[in-house]
Amino acid sequence: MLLHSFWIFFYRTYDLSTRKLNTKRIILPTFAALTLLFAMVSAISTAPQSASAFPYTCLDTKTGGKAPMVISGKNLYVVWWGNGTGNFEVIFKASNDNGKTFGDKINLSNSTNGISGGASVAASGNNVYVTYWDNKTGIGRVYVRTSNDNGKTFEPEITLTDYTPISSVPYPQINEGLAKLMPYELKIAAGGDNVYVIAKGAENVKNITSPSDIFIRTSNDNGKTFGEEINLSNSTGIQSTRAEIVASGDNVDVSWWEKSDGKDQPMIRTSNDGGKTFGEATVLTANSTSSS
Amino acid sequence: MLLVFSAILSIMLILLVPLSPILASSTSSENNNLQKTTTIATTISQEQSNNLTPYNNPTHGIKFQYPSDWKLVEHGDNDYHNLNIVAEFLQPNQNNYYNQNISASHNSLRISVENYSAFTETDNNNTVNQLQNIGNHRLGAIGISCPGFDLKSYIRNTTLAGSPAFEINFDYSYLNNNKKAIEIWTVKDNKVYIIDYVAYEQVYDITVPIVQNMIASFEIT
Repeated sequence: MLLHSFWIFFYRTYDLSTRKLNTKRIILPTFAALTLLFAMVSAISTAPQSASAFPYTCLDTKTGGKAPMVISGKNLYVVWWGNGTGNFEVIFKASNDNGKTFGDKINLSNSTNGISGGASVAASGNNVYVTYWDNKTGIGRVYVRTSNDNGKTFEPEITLTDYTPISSVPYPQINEGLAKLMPYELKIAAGGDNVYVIAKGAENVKNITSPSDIFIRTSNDNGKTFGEEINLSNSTGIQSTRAEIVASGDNVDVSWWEKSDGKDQPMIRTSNDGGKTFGEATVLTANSTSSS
Repeated sequence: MLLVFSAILSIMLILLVPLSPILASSTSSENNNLQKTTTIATTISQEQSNNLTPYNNPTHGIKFQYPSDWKLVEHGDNDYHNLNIVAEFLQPNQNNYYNQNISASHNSLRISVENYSAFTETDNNNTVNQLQNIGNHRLGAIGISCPGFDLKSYIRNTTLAGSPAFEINFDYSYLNNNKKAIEIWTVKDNKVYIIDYVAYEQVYDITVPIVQNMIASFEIT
């Protein structure tokens, strides 16, 4: 468009027979163009530089990620997930003086081809455990990484879920038509040599997704190996959600809320053998309320 | 032909006159930074001798004192996803650093008041647990929103307005602009009071003593 206008201007002002510019035709359009240019440049250079209107800043966000932390003696460990690298990664920091100072950031997920998040952290003695999900394989999977030196270094990640996708269901696990959806609400706890990881997940049978249940996997050797998953809620047709876990040595309590028929009641199951077996699910109270 | 040259010369002159401040500033940024730092230091020494101006917000039951040359801007309620910032105090050197393309571009202190329910799904009346839960949400939100976020300290035994409080110090960077920030929060009667101050790192280092005095003056009435 600009080029076209220029050629029109050129042919109207240039006399091809005499090879001279028609100066009478130049003055008015040139003056108009200069006036327009002056106005545009002035507008740009005198744009308001003061802060009369305040845009939202990145500090203003109230929702989004979480940054769980755990304290073990004078050690404070915190994890969060952000996209400072251009990709959402799980970041870990350790303080050995009650949070006054911190060591360097450690990128625990470190997956340039996947999104990571949902991290949780636990500690027992010198050991620190972090669980998170990542979809670097194309499937959302749960991982755990262990540090045996107060968060200075971490062992390679261990995969806690091994779901294989089928075409019609996102992030599922094939088991003759039985698929398990990607786990959410990861929580981790530690006591003695035991590490407990809980997650909310759902099953999908022939493309029908069931309400979510609460699952747990346990390690009894400081996070080196994990046992098979146990479905703690195992409540067909009932939505189990908002699970919490506390652990002390071989004792572990897992609570969650079950939503059914307009009721929202808290449940609990307890293990006293390092998560190998659990007692029956118990309703914590008959008249519970929730703010959510 | 003379007219053509005159026209071209006129165009160049007209273009150069308004552009000259921009060109000058872009070619002497290092000198400007030095001048800005000097200016800031001068401003700070003036501020330290200034009387503090009281800020009283009976709606949210808070009192605060700020240097008289800081600019007060009161906000309305923010939407659900953003902090409910009730007042913002702009540091005097604001205009020198303002860039509308940069997130958190202002050197300013903000006071936010929220209901505790905005930070949790379940009730919890233990103050330490509440403060930690707020920290879980605030750090998580900042970590996911502020590029290059890095936590420098996490203090869990401080006070704000005489109540137990948690405090974080952190920095982040956006388009090579390095920011430093402090955020402190307390909870009282299920109301959460958050004060944060963010500034360019060279401004932050000089102004943080004044900001600490401002934070110390905060009262919940």
